[in-house]
Amino acid sequence: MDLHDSAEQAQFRAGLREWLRQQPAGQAQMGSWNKALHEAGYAGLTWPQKYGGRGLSPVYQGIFAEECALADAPDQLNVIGLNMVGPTLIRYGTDTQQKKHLNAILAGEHIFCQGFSEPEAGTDLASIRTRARPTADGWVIEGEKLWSSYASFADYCLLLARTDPEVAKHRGITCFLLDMRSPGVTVRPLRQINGESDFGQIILENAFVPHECVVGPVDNGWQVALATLAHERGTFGITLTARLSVQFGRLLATVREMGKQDDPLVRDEVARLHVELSALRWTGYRALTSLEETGEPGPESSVLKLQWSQTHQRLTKLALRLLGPGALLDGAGSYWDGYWQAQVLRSRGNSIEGGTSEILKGVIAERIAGLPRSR
Amino acid sequence: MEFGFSKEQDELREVSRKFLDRHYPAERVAEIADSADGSAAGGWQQLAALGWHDPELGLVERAILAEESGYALHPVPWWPTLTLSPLAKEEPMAFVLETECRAVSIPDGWRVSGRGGPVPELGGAAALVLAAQTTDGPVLLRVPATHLTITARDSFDGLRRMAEFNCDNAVAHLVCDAAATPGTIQVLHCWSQTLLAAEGVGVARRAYDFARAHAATRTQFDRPIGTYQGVSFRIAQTYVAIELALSLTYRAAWLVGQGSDKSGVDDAVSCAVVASREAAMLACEDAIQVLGGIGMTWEHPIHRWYRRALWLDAFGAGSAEHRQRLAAALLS
Repeated sequence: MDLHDSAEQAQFRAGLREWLRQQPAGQAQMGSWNKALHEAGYAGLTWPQKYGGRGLSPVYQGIFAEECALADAPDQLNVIGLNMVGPTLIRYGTDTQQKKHLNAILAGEHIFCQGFSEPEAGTDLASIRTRARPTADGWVIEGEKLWSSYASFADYCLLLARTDPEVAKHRGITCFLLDMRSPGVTVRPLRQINGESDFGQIILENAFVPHECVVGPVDNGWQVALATLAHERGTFGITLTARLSVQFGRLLATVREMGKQDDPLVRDEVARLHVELSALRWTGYRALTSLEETGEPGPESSVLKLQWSQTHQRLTKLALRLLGPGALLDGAGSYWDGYWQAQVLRSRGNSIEGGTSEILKGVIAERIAGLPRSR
Repeated sequence: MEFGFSKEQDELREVSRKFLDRHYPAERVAEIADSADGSAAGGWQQLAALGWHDPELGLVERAILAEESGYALHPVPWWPTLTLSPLAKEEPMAFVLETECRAVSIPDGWRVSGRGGPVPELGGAAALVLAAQTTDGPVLLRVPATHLTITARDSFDGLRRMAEFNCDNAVAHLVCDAAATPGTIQVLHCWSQTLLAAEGVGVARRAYDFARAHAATRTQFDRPIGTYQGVSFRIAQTYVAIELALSLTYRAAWLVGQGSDKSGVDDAVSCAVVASREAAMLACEDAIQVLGGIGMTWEHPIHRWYRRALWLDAFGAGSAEHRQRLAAALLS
């Protein structure tokens, strides 16, 4: 047990922190941030060196996620490519696919989105209805995908579609690399309850995908999808927690600006949130350590997303309550231009996206507590 | 950054768990709780023989022993020993850091007068380490139990009994002089609180184990009750609370053991105490609910652990006070 960075880790962290400090503001959009990160050597930290990565251990990815969040660095537009599609192609991709995409993902030239969820397949992902029908030189795809992050910016989509409707639902699914500029692909922004559009809807009307864009064996897409989702688990908890620390800092600023720093009820709730946030942070480090030692996130990692969503939801509600009647206003001219109003609404999605709280509790009950299966 | 247990620490846990499991199954713990003095005869000597008194033990190792003791409800006064062993003699002890005692230095030692308590584990102790006021400020003294008038009190937790004491010009031995005492009291607070946080994690883990074992086997409406989400989600939520409290507890143990800066240590200890108490209470209350009627009987041992959770919640500064300290640091 050593809760400080090792000498190499401390050096990496200090270098990254300094580099982040020097970056000009306003690189957020259209991939310039990806390119800057790539040029500085911060893309593909954990990818093997033979695929253009740096071959570092997950702790470095954790430090990267943490420092970027703490510096309030822009969103990485190709985060899906870097953290999910890249590792999936390294494991399942053909030589051609790897040559075509891996360097381009690192350089921020190929932005990826993910085409998994559908209107009738959310939690029960294996019940997707999007159909891929074989043609002489490939597949023709028809269906609808929802809740796809970065869909409107994406060049490619890692897509799941049903290739055999006659077999059990987990079989008969295939994973494709879809060119988002293909005829028959339409992206519409999905407007959320706070009015913003973080996600897209992808409509597929006879979109063509050639044979060479199938990832892994035909009808074996479920295994590919599981591997892709597993890549997300590793250091994602660290990112979430670090972002929550930044959000907590904003809460403290609001407490002071509203003159509520001496209100005993506010102080009590602030302290409760601080305890939960600290618990998430240190549980994240425990999970990272077991990932480092065993290659698998330990059981403790399953609590991170579940608890994070509850803590963030309570934090945003407290912040909005602090505004008093100011919470009745919105938009320009309201406190912080309606920041907390939007955050309260957006945070409701935290307990739904990336595994609902109900599914996560079910997973804990069955796989960790060893209770009998409920289904 | 490496937040995991070493091989040696895992072994220490394994050995202690086996020892406690062999000597103190739940039925035996219940018998001892209902016995005259609430402590296993000869248990402390056994513990000392196992090296629990070793002044070299780090705080993470002590926390592991405390956690396993909470899991077993180890019916021996181990907590004062693990807190005090760098300072005190090898004997069963109790300690109290807030008293109304006054002490004077005389040519051949010290004399102390006053009263204090309720003090945990005082009944079976050979000596009491107490803080007493002097003209130079507080000092820590060791007073043999034979020089104290000790009044045992009926105690809510039969395995951690409380007693009051009186002394009048009693013979005492200096543990820590006036110059060093404020700092030592601060360290003892941190150590003792961190060990209680670790105990709370162990209490929570045991209650969680009672609940999940019952939920997996108890059948109602022809199905194990653990298949009902109303039951299984409760157990999952307990698991979450335990994992979070465990992270905060060992982070505190490591930081305090390293002698890190005061503000960092204060924050870590308060976070650990608050989270551990909450986990212990939640786990025991949920376990009683999952157990149903059997959990409400005197025969089922769960109430022994619930009493300990309630003891932990009531001993020392309250959780609300810890949160006020945390808020003061955050909003100052």
